[in-house]
Amino acid sequence: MKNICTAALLLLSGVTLINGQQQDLSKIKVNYSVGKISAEDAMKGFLAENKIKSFAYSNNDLEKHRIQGTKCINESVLGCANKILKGLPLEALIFNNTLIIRQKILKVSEMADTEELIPLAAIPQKRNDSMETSRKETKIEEVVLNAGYYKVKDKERTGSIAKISAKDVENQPVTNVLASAQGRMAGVNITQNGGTAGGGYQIQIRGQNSLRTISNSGIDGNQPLYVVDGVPISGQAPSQFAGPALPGGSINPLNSISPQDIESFEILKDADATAIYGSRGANGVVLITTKKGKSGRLGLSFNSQYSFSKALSNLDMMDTQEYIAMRRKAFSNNGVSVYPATAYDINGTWDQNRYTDWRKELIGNLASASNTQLSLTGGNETTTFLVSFGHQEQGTVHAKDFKYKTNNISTNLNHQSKDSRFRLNISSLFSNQKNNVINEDLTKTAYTLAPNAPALYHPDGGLNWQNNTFTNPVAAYNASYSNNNVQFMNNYNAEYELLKNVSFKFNGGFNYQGFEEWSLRPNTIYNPAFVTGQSSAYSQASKFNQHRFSYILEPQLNWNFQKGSHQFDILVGATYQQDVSRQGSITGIGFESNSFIENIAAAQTKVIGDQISSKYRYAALFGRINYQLNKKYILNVTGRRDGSSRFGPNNKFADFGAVGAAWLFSKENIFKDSRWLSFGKLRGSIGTSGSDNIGDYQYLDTYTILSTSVYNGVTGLIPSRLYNPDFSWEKTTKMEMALEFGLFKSRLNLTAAYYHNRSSNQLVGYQLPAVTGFTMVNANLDATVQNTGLELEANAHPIVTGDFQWQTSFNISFPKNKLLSFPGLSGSTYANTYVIGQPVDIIRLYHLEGIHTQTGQYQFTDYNQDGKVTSTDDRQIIENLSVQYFGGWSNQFRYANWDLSLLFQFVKQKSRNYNASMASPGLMNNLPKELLNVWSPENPSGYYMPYRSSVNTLHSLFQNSDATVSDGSFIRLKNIQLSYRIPLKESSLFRDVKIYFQGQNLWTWTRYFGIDPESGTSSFLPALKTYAFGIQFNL
Amino acid sequence: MKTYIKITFLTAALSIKACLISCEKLLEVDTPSNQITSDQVFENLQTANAALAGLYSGLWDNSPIAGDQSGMLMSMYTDELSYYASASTNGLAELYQNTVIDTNPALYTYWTNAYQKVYMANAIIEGIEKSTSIPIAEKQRIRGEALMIRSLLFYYLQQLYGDIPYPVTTNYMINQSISKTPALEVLQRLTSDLNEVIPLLQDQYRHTERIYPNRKTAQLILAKIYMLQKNWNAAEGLLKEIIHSPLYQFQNDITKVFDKSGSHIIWQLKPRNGGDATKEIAVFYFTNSAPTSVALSPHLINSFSGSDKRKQFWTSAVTVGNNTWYRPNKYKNLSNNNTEYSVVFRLEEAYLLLAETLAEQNKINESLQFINAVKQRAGIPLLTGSSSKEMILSEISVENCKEFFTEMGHRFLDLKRQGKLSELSTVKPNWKLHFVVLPIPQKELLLNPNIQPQNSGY
Repeated sequence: MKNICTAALLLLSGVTLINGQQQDLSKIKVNYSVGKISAEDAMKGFLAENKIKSFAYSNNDLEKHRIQGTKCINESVLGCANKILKGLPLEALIFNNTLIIRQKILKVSEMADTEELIPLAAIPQKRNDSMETSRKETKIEEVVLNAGYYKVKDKERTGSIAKISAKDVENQPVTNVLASAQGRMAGVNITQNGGTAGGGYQIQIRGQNSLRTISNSGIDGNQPLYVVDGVPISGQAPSQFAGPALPGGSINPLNSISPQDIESFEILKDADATAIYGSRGANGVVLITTKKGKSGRLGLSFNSQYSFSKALSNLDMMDTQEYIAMRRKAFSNNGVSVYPATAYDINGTWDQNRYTDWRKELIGNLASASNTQLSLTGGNETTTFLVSFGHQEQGTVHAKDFKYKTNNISTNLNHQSKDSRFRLNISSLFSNQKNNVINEDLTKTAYTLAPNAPALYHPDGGLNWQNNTFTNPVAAYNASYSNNNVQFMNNYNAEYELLKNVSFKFNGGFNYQGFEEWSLRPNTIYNPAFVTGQSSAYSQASKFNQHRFSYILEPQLNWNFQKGSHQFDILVGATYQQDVSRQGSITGIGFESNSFIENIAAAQTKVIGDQISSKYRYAALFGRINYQLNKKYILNVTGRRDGSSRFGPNNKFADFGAVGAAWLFSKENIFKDSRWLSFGKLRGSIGTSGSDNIGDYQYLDTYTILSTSVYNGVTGLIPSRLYNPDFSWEKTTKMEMALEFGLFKSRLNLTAAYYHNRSSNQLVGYQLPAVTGFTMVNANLDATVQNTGLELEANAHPIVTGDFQWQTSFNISFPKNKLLSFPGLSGSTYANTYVIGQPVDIIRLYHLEGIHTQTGQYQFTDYNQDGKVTSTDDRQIIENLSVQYFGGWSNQFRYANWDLSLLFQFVKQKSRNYNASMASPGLMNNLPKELLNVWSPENPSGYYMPYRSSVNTLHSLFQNSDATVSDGSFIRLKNIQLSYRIPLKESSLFRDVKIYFQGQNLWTWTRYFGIDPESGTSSFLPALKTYAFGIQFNL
Repeated sequence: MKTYIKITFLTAALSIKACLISCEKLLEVDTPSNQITSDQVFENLQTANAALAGLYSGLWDNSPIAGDQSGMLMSMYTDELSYYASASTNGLAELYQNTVIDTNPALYTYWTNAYQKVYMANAIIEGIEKSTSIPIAEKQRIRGEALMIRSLLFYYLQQLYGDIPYPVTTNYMINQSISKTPALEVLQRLTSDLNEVIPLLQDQYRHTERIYPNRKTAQLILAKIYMLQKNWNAAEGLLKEIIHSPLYQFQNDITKVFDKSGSHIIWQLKPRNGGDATKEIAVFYFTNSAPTSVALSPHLINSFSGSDKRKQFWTSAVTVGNNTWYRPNKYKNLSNNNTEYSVVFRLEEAYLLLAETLAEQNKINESLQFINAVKQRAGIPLLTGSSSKEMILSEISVENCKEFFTEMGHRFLDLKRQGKLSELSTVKPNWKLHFVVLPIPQKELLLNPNIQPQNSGY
C-alpha cells in the first residue's frame, strides 16, 4: 500500500528519476552483507556493490539511523533493501525501475492529499540522474481521484468519476480544457460551438436531463456544476452583446483557466459521486484541480508554442458560371425576361465573368497564435510553491487583426507543520482575457454571397460599393465586438488534526469576475452614399459590464477509524455561498467623430440600460460515511440538505442522498493466484441529485423597471414574468452498475458501466401561446425524462518493454434518451415538440416524397388527406437528432526519444443539414454544388425543385421536411502530437528539452451535408484546423 | 480518547443544528434593484402611471399601432407599397406577394406583440382594481386608458384575423387554453367595453401634446366599431361630437398635418427618447439607390392627379439612372426630431368616416362637405351634389387611400369595412377572396388547440 501511494504520488507529481541504462530492478538478484553501520553507508555500499544506478534517497533520512546488520544471498533488490532497513522508519520501493528509499508513512488518511502528506523532499535530486517528466510505463492502479469533498483511490471508489490529467492536455493548441477533453471521457459529450476564439462549449454529461434549454427557457438547464479548487464558478456567461459574434452569445467560464495550469480534470457522473453536491449535481460536476508546487530543487519550466489555424469546410460552392446559369434559369422559370433593376448579378451591373471564392476572401486567412508559459516551482519539506505565468494570443481567420489575448498568473503555496498535524494550501488564479472579434460573424455571408459580386476594395484601398449596388461585407470589419474579462479566484484550504484520526478542515474561497464588453458599430460599416453611412451621427457604441463576487465557506470534520478488518471514514460539513452580481449597460448613438466612439459621454443620444444587482444565497449540510470491510467490501453513503434563495418560501429546502457499494472480487480467494486477473471490481450506486439552475428571483411576482421603455420621460414598469408561486426543485434519480477488470498485471484494463437516470418534476420554461402575454412561464412540469446508457472503456499497454512502447485507450458511450411520461402532453404546449417514448431532441417534419413528375414541384405527404400540407397533422415524420454513440480512441507511441500520440473522436448522429438553413434556391444567394441537381423533365431524378427568382413557398415546407435531416456522423483526428526529447549531455544546463508538433482537427471523415458536422451551424465559423509547433525547456 | 471524539461530534452536531435554524435567514435576499412587487406598483400613483408608461412605450415600439407595423405590413399586403428586397426570411416578401402562410415570421411577431400589450393592459386593469390608496378619479382614468388601449388592440386583431381569442385576465392557466370569440361577438364586446371607457375618460387631454388618449379618442374607436356593425346612426352621433368639439380644428396647411402641435390631432404616440425619429421615417427612408425594402407602388403614385398636394408634400422621388422610385414622406425628420410624433388618429379620419356614415344613410349632400374638406386641402377638384351613394362611397375609398397611405393599416381596414378588398385583385395578381383575414400563426394553433381551426383557405 505504501509503495502504491508513492507510485501514485510520483505519477501525480509527474517527476521521477530514470537511469538511461536498461536494468530491470524487479528482476535482478543481488548479494550483500553488512554489519551495524550507518544506514547511509549501508545503502551506499549496497548500491555500489550491486551496480544499481537508478535510485533515489535523502541523506537526511538515512544518516540519522544505524542498521542492525544483515545478509542477503541472491535476493530481489527490494527484498534485500528492506532487509537492510529492517526496524527503521524507512522503506524501500521500486517505481519506474528506480529504487526509492523514503520515510515510512504510518497512516495515510483518506482525506489527505497524498502529495501534501509525503513531501517530495524525501527524494533527493541526484544531479547525475537525468530528470524528466513522468513516463507512464505501466498503468498505476492507485490513481487517486478527486471527488470534491474527499479523495478516493481509483481502486476503492464506489462512484463513477472520469479523469484526465495534465499529461493528456498539456501543450495542446487550445484555449479551453474542454477542447482537449473531447473524445477522452466516456459519457461526456463535448461540442465546441464555433471556431471563433473565446466562445462557448456544449457539455452534456450522460445525456439531457432537463427539458430546459436556452430556446425554451432562456437558461440551459443541463449545465454541469463547475468547481475550481473547491470554489464553484458560474456556468453562465453574462454577455449581452456577444450574440452576433459568438454562437449563442455564449462564453465558457473555463476560458479563464489556462489548460497548462490544470493538474487534473475530473467529472463526477453517478449518484454516488454527485449526491454530495445535492441540488447542483444532477447534470454532473466538473472538478478542476490546478497544479501544485513541488519541493526539492528549484524547477523552472518554459514552454513556447506557435500555431496557425484555418477554417474547416465541408461544402463545395457553385462557381460563377454555375451560379449565373442558376440565376438565369430562375428568372426564366418565373417567366421574367427583363431582369429587375436590383438583380445586379445578372442584369449587367456586375461583371458576369468575375469569380471570387468568398470563403477564401472572408474567412480564409490563416489565424496565427502564440502561447508562452513560464513556471517556477520549489520548496522544502514543509513548504512548497508554484508560480506560473501564461500569455496567449490568437488571431482570427478574417483579414483584419482581430485578436484573442489571455494572460494567466497562477500561484500555489502549500505548507505543513513539522509534526504534519496542520496543513495549509493557498491557491490563486488570476486571469485576464481580452477578445476582439468581428461584430457579426461573416461565415454566412462567405457562403451565400454571389460569386460574381464585385471586388472588395478599389485599387486605392478604399471600400468598393460598386455604385451603391453592393453591400460590401468587409465594411463589417469596421465594427467590432470586444470583451475584457478579469477573473480572480482564491482558495484557502486548511486542515488540522484535532485528535488522532479526527481532523477539522476548512475550505473557503472567493471568486471575483469583472466582465466588460463593447459593441462598436461606427457609421463606416454602412455605405457612405446612404444616410446611415454618411456621418458619425449614425455611429453606435454599446458597453456592458458586470461585476460578480462570490464566496464560499465550507467547514468540515473528518474522522477515520479502523479496527481489525473494519474501516470507517466519516465526513460532515456545511456550505454557505453567496453570489452578488452587479451589471449595467449604456449605449451611445451619434458622435461628432468616430474617434470619440468609445467615450459614450460624447454621444448625442445616450441610452442607459438597467443597473441591476442580484443576489444568490445558498446553504447546505452534507455528509459521507464510507465503510470498508476487509478492504474488499465497500459501502459509501452520502447526503446533502440544500437551501437556495432561488425558491419561494414553501420550497426553499430539499434533501438529496445516495448509496454506493463496491466489491473487489479479485481479492476473493479463488482469484488470489489468478494469472490473468489482477484486479476486479463490481460496483453500483443509487441516489438523487438536483438542479437549481433556473436563474435568480424566478418565483417573484414583480414589475421590472425597464430603461428602454420610456414614454414621455417616464420610465416604464413592465410585468417581469408570469407569476408562478409553486416553484420547486427538480430531481434526478440516478442508478449505476459497473464492472472493472484489470487483466494481465493490469496491462489491459476494462470498464463497463450501465447507468439509468430519471429526472422528474421538470422545471421548464413552459411554452405558452402568445395570447397569454408571454411566450413562456417557468413551471414544474410533471414529466419524466430518462437517460440510460452503456459506457465501455478499455486501455491497454500492448508493448511495454524495449525502446518501443505503445499504450492505447478506447471509450465508447451509447446514450439513450427517452421521454417517459408527460401527463397531459397532448393538450399541452409541448404536444408537437415531444412524443412519449421518444428522445427529447426529436423533431417533427413533413415527409418529402419527391418531385411531382408533371408539375415539377415538391410533393409532401398529406397525411390527413385534406388536400393541403399543413402543420400539426401533416408533420408526421419524427427524426431523432440525439447522438447514437460517441467516443474516442487514443494511442501513445514511444520510440527512444520520440513520442507520438493520436486521438480520434467519433460521433454517430443524425443532424439538420444545409437544406434547413439555405435560402430559397434561385435567389441572389450562392449555393452548394449539390443544388445543381435540379429536377427537370430531362433530369427526372433531380433532387431539388426548379429554381425560382422569387421566394418559393414550397421551399419553406421543404425546410421543415425530412430532407433537412441526414447523417451527421463524423470521425475526426482530434489531436496529433509528435515530440522529440533532445538528448542532453550530463553537464547540460537543462534537465530536459523537448520540441513538438501538435495538430488539432487535422482530418475529418463525414458524409454530412453542411459546413461542419460538429457545430452543425451555417451561420458561425466552425472549429478550426490547427497546426502548432513548440519547444519546452525544463531547467 | 473516545470521549473527546464524542464531544467533538456533539459540538459539531449542535453547531449544525444552530445553523439549520438560522439557515432560513441566511437564504433571504432582497428583491433586485430593478424590480418591485406587483401589489406595490398599484399602491402609488407614480408607479401605477409608470406601468401605464410601459404600455404606451410598448405601443410606440412594437404593437399594431407602432409606426412600422400595420402601416408597413398592411400597406404591402394591399396595394400601397412594393417590396424590393431580393431575398429575405422575415416574411415580408410573402406579405407583398400575397403568398402568406401560417408560419410567416412578421405576422407571428405582430400577433405576439399585440397580445403582449393586451396582457399589460389586463395587468393594469386588475392591479388598479385592487388598489386601495390611489384616488378614485385617478383609478378611473387609469382603468379607462388601459381598457381603451385593450379595445383598440382587439379591434386590430379582429380586423386582421377574424375570430380571435379575447383574454380579459392575466391568468395564464385560463388564457393558455382560451377559445376564439366569433368576430361579431368581438365587436359586441368592444362596444360594451368602449361604452364603459367613455365616461371614465375626460375630454381634456392630460398632456398638451395629445400623447395620451382622451374621451374623444375612445369615441372615435367606438364609432369605427359601430360602422362595422352598420350602426350608422350611432356612429354619426359620435363622429359629429368629435368634429364639433372645440378641441379640434381642421388643419388647412397640408405641410403641417404631421406636425405634433396641430389641433387636428386626436391621439399621437411620442417616440421613446427626445430627438428620436418616428418609426415611420426610419422604415420608409431610402435615398441615392434602388430601394432595398419598400417604396410606394406605381399604382398608388399614378393614382394621384398632377395637382394633388399630397403627392407633392407627402411623397419623395428617388432617381437612380433611368429608374425613379417614390417613398412615403409624411414624416421627415431622420434625426433631431422635435416636431413629429406618430399620429394614430387625426381629425381627417373623423371627417371621412362621417362622410361614409352619412353616405350610407343616403345623406349625400351632408356627406359631400366632409369629403370636400379633405379634397380642398389637397388642391384637387371638389365633388358636386349630383353624385349617387355608390359613387360617393367609392370616392371616399379613393380619398382614404390618398389621404392615409402607409398610415396605421388604413387601406386594409377601410377596404375591408366597405367590403371592397376584392378590388385589390386588379392590382395584386395573387389576391384571393379568403385574404380578408390572415392566417392565425401556426405556433399558436400548435400551442393552444382550442383556437383551431385555422382560418379557412390557409
